[in-house]
Amino acid sequence: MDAASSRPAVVIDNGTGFTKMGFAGNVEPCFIIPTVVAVNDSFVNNQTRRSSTSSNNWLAQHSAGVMADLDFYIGEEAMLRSRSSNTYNLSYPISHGQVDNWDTMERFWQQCIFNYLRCDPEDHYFLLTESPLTAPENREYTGEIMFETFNVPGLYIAVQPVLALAAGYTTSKCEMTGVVVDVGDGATHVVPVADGYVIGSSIKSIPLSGKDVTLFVQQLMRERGEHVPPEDSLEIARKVKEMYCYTCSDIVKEYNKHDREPSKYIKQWRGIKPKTGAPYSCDIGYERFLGPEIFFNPEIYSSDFTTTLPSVIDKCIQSAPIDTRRALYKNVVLSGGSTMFKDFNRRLQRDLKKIVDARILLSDARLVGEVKTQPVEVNVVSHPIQRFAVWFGGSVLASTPEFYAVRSRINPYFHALELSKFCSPSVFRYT
Amino acid sequence: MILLQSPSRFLLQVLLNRVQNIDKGVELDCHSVEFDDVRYHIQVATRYPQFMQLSMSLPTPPPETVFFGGLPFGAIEAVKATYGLIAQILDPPKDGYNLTMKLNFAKLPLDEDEQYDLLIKVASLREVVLGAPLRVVLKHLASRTVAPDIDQLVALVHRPKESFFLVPEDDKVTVVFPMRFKDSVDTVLATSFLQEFVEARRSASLNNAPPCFWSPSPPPELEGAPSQALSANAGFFTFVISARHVEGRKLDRTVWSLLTFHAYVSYHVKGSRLKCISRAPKEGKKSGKHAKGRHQKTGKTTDLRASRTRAPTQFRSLVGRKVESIVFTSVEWSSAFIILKTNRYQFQGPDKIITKQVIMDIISYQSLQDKSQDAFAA
Repeated sequence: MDAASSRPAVVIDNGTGFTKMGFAGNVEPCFIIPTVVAVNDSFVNNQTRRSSTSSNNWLAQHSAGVMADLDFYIGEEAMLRSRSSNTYNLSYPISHGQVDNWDTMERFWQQCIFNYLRCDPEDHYFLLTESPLTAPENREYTGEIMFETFNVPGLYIAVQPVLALAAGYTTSKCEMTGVVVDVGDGATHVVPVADGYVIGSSIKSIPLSGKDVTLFVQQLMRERGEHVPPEDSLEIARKVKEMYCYTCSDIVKEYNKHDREPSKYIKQWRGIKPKTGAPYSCDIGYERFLGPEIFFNPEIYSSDFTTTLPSVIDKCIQSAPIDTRRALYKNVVLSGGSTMFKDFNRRLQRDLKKIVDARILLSDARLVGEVKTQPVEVNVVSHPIQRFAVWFGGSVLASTPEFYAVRSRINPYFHALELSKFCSPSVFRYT
Repeated sequence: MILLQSPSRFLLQVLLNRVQNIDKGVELDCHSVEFDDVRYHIQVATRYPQFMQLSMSLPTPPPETVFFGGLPFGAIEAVKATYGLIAQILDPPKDGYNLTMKLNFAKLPLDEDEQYDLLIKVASLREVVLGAPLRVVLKHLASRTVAPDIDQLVALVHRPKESFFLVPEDDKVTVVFPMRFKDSVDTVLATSFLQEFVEARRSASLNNAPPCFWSPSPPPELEGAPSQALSANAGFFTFVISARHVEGRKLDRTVWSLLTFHAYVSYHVKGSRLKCISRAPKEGKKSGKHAKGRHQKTGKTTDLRASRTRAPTQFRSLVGRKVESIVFTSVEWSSAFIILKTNRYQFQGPDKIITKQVIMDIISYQSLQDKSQDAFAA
């Protein structure tokens, strides 16, 4: 047992919207920050302009460049900086669950490790996550960065849904079979897992995610003509989504409820205009339940995609091997921030149950009483740590002694690196 | 971020969160590890929301450092003086930790600003405990005396099983850091970084900063130090602190900067690695002409670089100057890799310090070899 394995592993779950990071063995991540980097671009622009004139000022230019390299912020700080000055540009390194800007992603990790967690990467094993259907090249690249720049002693890259299942894994309930419905900010996946293995061919992903809920709320508020300053409207829509949205059981009834008792259901939002400093207020009405409704009636949001979330889950399970289906229906696990709407699990369970029951009725009618089909148990599991279930699963996994045995699978890469700094990180493909 | 901040972000976040929701009882049991193996453990019981138990463990001290009851000298007094009523030191500390404090939020000052300042101080626990002996020595310097009961050479722990050394005199305190790095690339980068650091200190704007020196061999001040403390693969770094650097409010910053000097270097070394790797293609294009001129001299390095597509072609130290000297321009960066490669076969031994001279040797050796190969081919 080396020194690094006596320290808790670092678990970082980089999501499209938020990054959850902390140490294994904790119940909650130490930090949940937006995955955003504010980069100072003023140097790059100055340089292109200046380089044509003369290069005698190279020292000043150079030190400006050095400063620009250190001059960036992540998370909440990045948001603040970009709002207060024009020199910073926001960059979102991850989109739709995939890293697409590796330069800022590296910087983001650097700050996560040194400024937030304040740990020495050489001292800890790392557990990172990736969304299902990530290209192996991305994993290679992550490995390259972690080993070559940060010198980590060992790295494990886990698939998010498996971790979400592991979050419910306790000594009393050892269930590693289930469907994970992961609705994040940038991507939504429905992933069946049997005995800890992802059934890759049955993964379904739908183009609706938390971001679409935000956009829909923003659109609704704009169309109603609420007095929201345009530069803030997306941010306010996000806050409205997080604070006031809920799932209803029936849209028509919900409309009636709102109309009958507006004082009870319509909320007020108060804010201060960022430019003028004048206070304003706006109403929050139907968007409270219409926002999350796009998962159950997607046609109200876009005409391109009209399959509802429950039927996607049903199709996903139906495409899985037949002997796993009952177990999969029994354990539908929610994960991701956008499943946090009140009663989301109940609505999902009801709608899924409806589809399943209809199918059973149909088959019973066809068989006309010869064989009685056993009812299928449908269970949508929801737990309070749903928002960072993936992180928690990582924390659980990385705190077990088996973790240190598992990460040896990637040690070939590490040894190869030791032997030659020039070797290809393709070893990662086979882990 | 250029300098590491003194308060731990994690501690501060937990503390603020607790103080804002003081009425809400929650069960809290979490731990965190900082650089140089400082660990924290926080416990809050649901029944007593106004109390919080904060434990801290320090890096394992090397034999030459003086520890009293698991803590550096002066630490208990420093904790009592800094936190006053809100913290109560529990004796014995929690198993596996060096210090356990019971914080009582009911005794926080009512004024919000004062309250915040105090919480920042609690989050800076590391500075208070580990920096206590350094603070004692520097306080005496401020009054231009030497602490009466102190040795000629004081060893203070700053990393697990590693210490740095103080030589207190009445008009100055010499601080010597043996710099050690695990990774061979880190060692090369750190060596160059430290030399640049000394160079940068010479610029006119930094006249008032403490003088600093770097040497590959132990400086004479370390005479009498135990032999295991005298081996360092990235050389020895010396600061000379005089009374004007520790006057009044400057004391806190000096203590913190000295205490985290190794972490500071290590952070910037990692930052440089990141930059070297991520910026390489761009820089390569810019300095193409320059690099080409060098290639003719040492053909070998070209091959080496070609084999590594993302190899950095130019290294700039982060201290703030372009390095035009021989150490780290385009070719020398790749020769740094040669050293590492040849290190394995020719300069075996962990104590080998990579200096300018060694780099020069390597380059001349390389070009000699190239010439002879060329001659052979002809």
